[in-house]
Amino acid sequence: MAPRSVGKHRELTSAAAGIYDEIEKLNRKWPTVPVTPRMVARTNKLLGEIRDLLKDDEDGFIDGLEDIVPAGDQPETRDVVLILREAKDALDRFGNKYQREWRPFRQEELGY
Amino acid sequence: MSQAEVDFVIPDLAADIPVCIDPFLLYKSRDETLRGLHELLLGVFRHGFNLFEAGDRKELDRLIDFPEVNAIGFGYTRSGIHGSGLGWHLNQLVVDLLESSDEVRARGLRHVEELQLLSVGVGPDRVSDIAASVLKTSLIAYTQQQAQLWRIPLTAGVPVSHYLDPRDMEWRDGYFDLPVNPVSGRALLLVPRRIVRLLPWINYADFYANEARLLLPPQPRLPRYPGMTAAKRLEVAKAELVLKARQRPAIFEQYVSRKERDGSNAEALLPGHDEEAQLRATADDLRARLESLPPGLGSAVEYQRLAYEILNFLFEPELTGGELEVKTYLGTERRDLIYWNEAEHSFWRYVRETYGSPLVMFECKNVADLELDHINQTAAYLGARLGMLGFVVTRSEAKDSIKRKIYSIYNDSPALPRKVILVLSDADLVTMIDLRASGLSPRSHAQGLYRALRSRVQ
Repeated sequence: MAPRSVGKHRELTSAAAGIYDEIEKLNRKWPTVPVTPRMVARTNKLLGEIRDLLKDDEDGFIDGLEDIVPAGDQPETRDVVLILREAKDALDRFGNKYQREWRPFRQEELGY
Repeated sequence: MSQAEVDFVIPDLAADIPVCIDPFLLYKSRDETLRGLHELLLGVFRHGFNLFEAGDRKELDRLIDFPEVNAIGFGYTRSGIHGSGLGWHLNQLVVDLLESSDEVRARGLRHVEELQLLSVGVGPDRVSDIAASVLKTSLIAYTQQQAQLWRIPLTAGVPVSHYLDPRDMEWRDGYFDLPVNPVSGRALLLVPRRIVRLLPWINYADFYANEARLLLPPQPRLPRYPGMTAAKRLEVAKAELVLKARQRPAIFEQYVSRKERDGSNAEALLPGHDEEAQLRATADDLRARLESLPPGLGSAVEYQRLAYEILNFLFEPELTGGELEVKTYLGTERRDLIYWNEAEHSFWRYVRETYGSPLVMFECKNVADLELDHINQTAAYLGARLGMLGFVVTRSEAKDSIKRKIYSIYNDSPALPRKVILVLSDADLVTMIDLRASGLSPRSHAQGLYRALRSRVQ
């Protein structure tokens, strides 16, 4: 696995955690309220990048990470939280799988 | 034939239906023909105001003359189909209005319904009478078209009085081929449901409940006595309100502007058209006919007709004014089914706004398996006039090769929005019929098909 993937994975994990946390906060109070177009746009950008990173991986749940297509009705908060949770978990599985391979790159970064 | 399947309001032959033609639905329509009719309606009053200014009272009396159009069978009378109508009485009301208010004279009318707020004697039924009188020629043509479509027998040379000839703003009488009401023995005119509401969008009760309160004194706002009904209070208040609205047109203007801004909420509506038993009966009938109709060229016309009835059932009033076998401008091509997209929210509004057309096209293919040529033909129809999204209605789910073709048409579209073709199979139609019969919106299923396609072509 190339060092580029290490950095990308770290970047996406951070971005996914941020978006997930914010939408999850809304979900606690207003799970059925539609999310804003901006939330959909940011979520779709994240999903696109995750798909790109994981495209050669054999994860059975990647096909669930499709872009949200509002088509006139914004999705409910709880649905977006579910999608983001799947995305976060896919990133975690990916990270765990290549943890051993990435260790040298991480050590290099840290100056060991 | 049930109300859910047809594009017009099915008349009650023995009594008036308590609905009205709402000119606001003409005003806000995406159909330029309907908007033109709204202009015609205003044009009559514009001409009348000019005649008043010119002092030509005789011509004004002749022009502002709207007897009740009994042939449409709308009205709020308790029984029968003969209300009072306006007739010559409106002349006096309009003259009275113009004489008493310089402001109104200078401003003119933006909506005929404004007369309800400016004149004590004008209510929703009279607004409907005015609209029906001016639109009578269009209603005659529409009735003839629908009668042909639904095989309603026409009688030759039925007398029709008092229709407007827009070329010279003259009222005329004539004879037309029309259905006859067996109860009254007179002409029967059908009205498209897309221009019908229970009350006009701009109406006095609404004005009173909102902006008009600014015109009334503090408590007690209205005269009252023990046992006085709310309707009676409204009636008494109207005389006072009309006077104040004429004197202070700013409040009146504020109300009309608000109604225009909120116009997207004005939707065509019929009483009891969603009754569960009726919906279920219609759904059962449509489902049974679809299941028993064999695929093949021999029953292609019948299939197209059935698809029309099903789509009416599913999507009216969001998709409305459906027409069969629509020819192109030069007559070189025919589209099977075209609807006006008058939706104000959700998927159909998105389709209109994203795919650049107030029309939605459905191509009907009564074949067991779609072929690439069918998809190519549909793709060729999509463009500036019909928009970039169209449907193919067919008997079975599209094969993988057809799906790939649809994806490639999407991906090969040279500009945004890309061409989208959605396939509605028998299974999709049945699912949507079931949704509609359960009181749910079949729109969500069509939306799901669209979402699935967009996800696949990412």
